[in-house]
Amino acid sequence: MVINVRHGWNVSGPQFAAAKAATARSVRMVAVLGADYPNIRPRFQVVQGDHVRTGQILFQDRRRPAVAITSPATGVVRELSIGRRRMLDRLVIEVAEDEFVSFASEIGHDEQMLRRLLLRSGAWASFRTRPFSRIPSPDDTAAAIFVTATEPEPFQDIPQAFAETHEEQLHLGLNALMQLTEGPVFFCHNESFRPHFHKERIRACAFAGPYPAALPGTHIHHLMPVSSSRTVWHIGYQDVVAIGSLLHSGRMWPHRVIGFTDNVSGVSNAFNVRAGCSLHDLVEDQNGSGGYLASGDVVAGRKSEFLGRYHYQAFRGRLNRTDPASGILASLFNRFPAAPPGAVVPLESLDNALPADIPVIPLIRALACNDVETAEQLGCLELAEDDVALLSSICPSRADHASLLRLALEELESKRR
Amino acid sequence: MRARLSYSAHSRWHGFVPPPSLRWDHWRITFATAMALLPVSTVYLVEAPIYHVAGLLLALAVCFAWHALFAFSRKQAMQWQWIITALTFYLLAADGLSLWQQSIALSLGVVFADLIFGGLGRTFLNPTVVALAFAIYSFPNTLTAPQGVFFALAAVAGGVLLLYCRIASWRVLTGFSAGCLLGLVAIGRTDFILVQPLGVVVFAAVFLVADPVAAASTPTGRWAYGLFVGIITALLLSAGGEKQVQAIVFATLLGSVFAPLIDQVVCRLLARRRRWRG
Repeated sequence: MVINVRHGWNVSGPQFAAAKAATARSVRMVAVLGADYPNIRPRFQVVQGDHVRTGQILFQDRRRPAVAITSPATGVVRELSIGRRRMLDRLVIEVAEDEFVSFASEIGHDEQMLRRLLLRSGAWASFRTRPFSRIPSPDDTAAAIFVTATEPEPFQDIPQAFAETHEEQLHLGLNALMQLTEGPVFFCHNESFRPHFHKERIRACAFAGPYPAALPGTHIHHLMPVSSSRTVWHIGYQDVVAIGSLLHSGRMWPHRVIGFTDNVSGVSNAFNVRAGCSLHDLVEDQNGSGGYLASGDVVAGRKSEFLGRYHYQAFRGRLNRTDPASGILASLFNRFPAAPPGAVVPLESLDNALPADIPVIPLIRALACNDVETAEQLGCLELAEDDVALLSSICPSRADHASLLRLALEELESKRR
Repeated sequence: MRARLSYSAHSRWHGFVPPPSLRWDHWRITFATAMALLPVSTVYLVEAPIYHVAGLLLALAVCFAWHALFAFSRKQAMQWQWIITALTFYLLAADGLSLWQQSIALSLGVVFADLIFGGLGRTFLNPTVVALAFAIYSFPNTLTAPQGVFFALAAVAGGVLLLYCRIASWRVLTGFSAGCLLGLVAIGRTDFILVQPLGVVVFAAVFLVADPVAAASTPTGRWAYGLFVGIITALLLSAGGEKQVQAIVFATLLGSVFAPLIDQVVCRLLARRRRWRG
């Protein structure tokens, strides 16, 4: 099945040749970032200066102690900083030779043992729910699980190459996902990638189109739209391989293949790195001035010195940010200063930023005045921060629609409890 | 590997991929609209007598003065939307209104339809439409529309630019055209389509009816709004004969007033569909 996504557009940047192999990079520092776990109130199991092993529990969620976050590397905890509201800011580990915590004794065949294994090894945190985009509770069930094996341009071909080299682990991981849900497991992939699964409940589905075609929110919207009564989970393809690898070897699999776009020097590369790696280690010209490091894709990424938990892309952006669009009009506009933020003007070009049956302007207005009831009726439960990033990038109001959406979602979530 | 490489080239053209969008802001919107107004203003000024330039300068001065006064008293940044208001008003009202009449009508439109709401994006009516409506009521039988094929063509050129920028909505313009035709056919006045010089209708459709602030703001709502304004325009045109400006101004005014209601209905229908889907 191929689904053509019609909304959205691509953001131009340096091209990446599909034939390029990922280069392995050793990293000196890795970090676990609080920004990835906004609703986890941590109870730390380590302190600064401790030596931790790969797969060792770093902290647990106070509200749900079974949900644990584990270390992606072996080494010494160099920095443990607490941010606002006693949440984690970041936990930095200096990488040494790997010593793995073994989970081999906990591998079992029934669902309960699988859940326990995923929770103990930290792999549980790779699932996120939609609506609300949170780590699911240990006893939650999903109506379906979505595997996101798509990447925004220019790295759209990385998932296929990755899946081909890790085929065995991928199948093991997908079988594990089938145990976690009664419903289907959707494997959402790129159009050229034609994976074959000989299981009825694993459904491969291709997505073609511009940028939003790679987002889990788009996949869920087209295949099984969520509502207040239906929750699905989504997980990245590399995390599925990590689960497969865990079941295979009994060890945490801490690697990532990421696409790195350097907008300053104008090159794109694929790197084989460790989860949570320091992005400084990926930049070619260390002394190159200008630019900031960010984790995530070029549209929805956030400024960060380390790779985020859920990101398979990172980039270095230019500080004097110009219009990402190309063309005569864009180059003309870039010569003039930008206006101060103003009110939303309901331009037709904004309509294209969200899926067709979510009316953009009424949703923006509802979010801006925190009218959560209207926002829910208009379909904000289907969205997460990365879905509205494209909208924020062109909206004349320059409002941070992602934060406004999160406020509304938090209020809806608290009403639900 | 070949297949993968060919995919990258293929994906770009697969299906409908809309052009990339610009980072819009108020100055850019105003600038693009002013560019769209440039050909039509040039055509008008070339044909108009030389003293008409005084009217244009006065319109610009009046709009600037009010915007400057509000920006100063509210300690806000200056907006440039007044250029668009002055130009569109001048092109439709210069013939037939004396300078003091223009000033009063324009002041009323700018202040009461634009500035007291807070400027661009916070209003729901186009200030030019309100100013024209005021002029039509207060000084009846004086407005005559600019005529000519070149005027219409220049307005079309401006419309193409606004459509390319996706400031004007193609849904509104298509709906408006369909509504006009539908209305004229329904009342059996198809002779209007050929006989009437349609320059002013094209101009008003592009710059007044399809003004994003005054139009509906949902895709379906834009269709409904365009059709509604088109049908009312056709009815008023056939009833009023020569009074084209009057017909389109009141149709737009009515449409703008109903636009929030249209949006509300569309949102309710979408929400209901979402509830049914579960």
